[in-house]
Amino acid sequence: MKNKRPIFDALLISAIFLIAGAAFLCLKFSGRAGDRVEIRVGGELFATLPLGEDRVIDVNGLCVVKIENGSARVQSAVCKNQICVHHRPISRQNETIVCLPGGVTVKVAGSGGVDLISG
Amino acid sequence: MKRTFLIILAALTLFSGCNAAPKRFSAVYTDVFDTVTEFTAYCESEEEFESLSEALHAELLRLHGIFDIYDLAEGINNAKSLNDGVKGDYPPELCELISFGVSMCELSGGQLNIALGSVLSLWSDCREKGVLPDADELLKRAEHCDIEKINLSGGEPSLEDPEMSLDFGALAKGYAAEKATEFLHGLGAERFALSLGGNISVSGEKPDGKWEIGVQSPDGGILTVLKISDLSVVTSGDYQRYYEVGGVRYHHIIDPKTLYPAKLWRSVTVVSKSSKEADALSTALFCLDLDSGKELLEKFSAEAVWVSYDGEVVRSKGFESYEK
Repeated sequence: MKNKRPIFDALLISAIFLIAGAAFLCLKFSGRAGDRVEIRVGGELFATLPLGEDRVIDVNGLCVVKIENGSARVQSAVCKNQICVHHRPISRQNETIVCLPGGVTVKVAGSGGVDLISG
Repeated sequence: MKRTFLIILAALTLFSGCNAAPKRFSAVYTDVFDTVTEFTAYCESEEEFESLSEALHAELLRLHGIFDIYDLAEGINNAKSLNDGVKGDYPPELCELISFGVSMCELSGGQLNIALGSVLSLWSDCREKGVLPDADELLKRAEHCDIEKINLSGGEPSLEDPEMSLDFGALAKGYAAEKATEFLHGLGAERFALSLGGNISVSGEKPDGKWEIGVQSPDGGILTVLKISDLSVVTSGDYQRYYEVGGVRYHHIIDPKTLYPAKLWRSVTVVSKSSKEADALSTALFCLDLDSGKELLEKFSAEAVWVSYDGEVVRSKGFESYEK
């Protein structure tokens, strides 16, 4: 079969690689913002919520999580040390707030982030 | 048109990866080592992962019981029994951890001291009350931190000074991560990542390449991303556990030289084959100036990155090779 449009094919192939490359770079440098929050109690998934929608969630009376302007924080907690309440709001993938006394973890999830965070 | 379609199809295949790889599963435990433990592994089935995860959780609970300095463990002597002066047989894991602590103390010139328990418990009591420890009381307690007073005879360790106590806060998580990794290998697991409150140990690679580990920046966000396999990463930071008195921040890593929180670095991250060494080194380096830290690092096959108070980031010679 004779190729009638070699230039067109070359352009198409280049375009696909360019788009793929651009998409890759966008994902890599977007600051790895997460798109949802996973709340767990004692390791069990309690709720998965989009970071994009503002709301307030009571986690079994253990703490109250507030999602606002694309980040999540623990608004109040019944624990003694209040470390979770003092934690700054989280919005990037794998960032986590923990309320250890209550066994509650609030973690930002999304696709394309790192596997784990050392810190 | 057919040709265009074929090229697009070929491109899609190129970017999709269509082999049936093992699936990724994760579990979280919040009841071991006073921190959050995350276990991620690639397994053929959910059942396979569940049984791995259950066995791992039980093993971590067992190790937690042995190294616990706050509560006694059922049926065995543990770290609290030792601090309480109980004589008798002790689990081999505790004896091994003590030996490791003693050798790290020697290698670090006393910078890492597991016999600092009496000083650390005063700080921890004060942290709960939100007050500062009395300076004289700190000095008094510092007289009971002589690591030479640990007797390690056979399986029956004891403390010669009844007022001294051991604290494994700088070692236990790294040691447990190392033991847990060996335990999982014994069960046939090959591709997994374990984080004991940020003490990370990864094994093998993911189906699509190396594990990607973010190093937390002291101000939040990610400082750098490491691409690693069969390695451990441990970070010590001033932001991890702290309290404030009169607007001044007091964090949890106490320098044995000054008996106060170390003020040289905001964070130090160590990468090493050995998880227990990474854990011990990150704490030791956190209390050492750059030159002394580098000198200590050279005794081990480990790399590190330091973040100073003015935001300067310093890397050891080979650290870059792990970065993405």
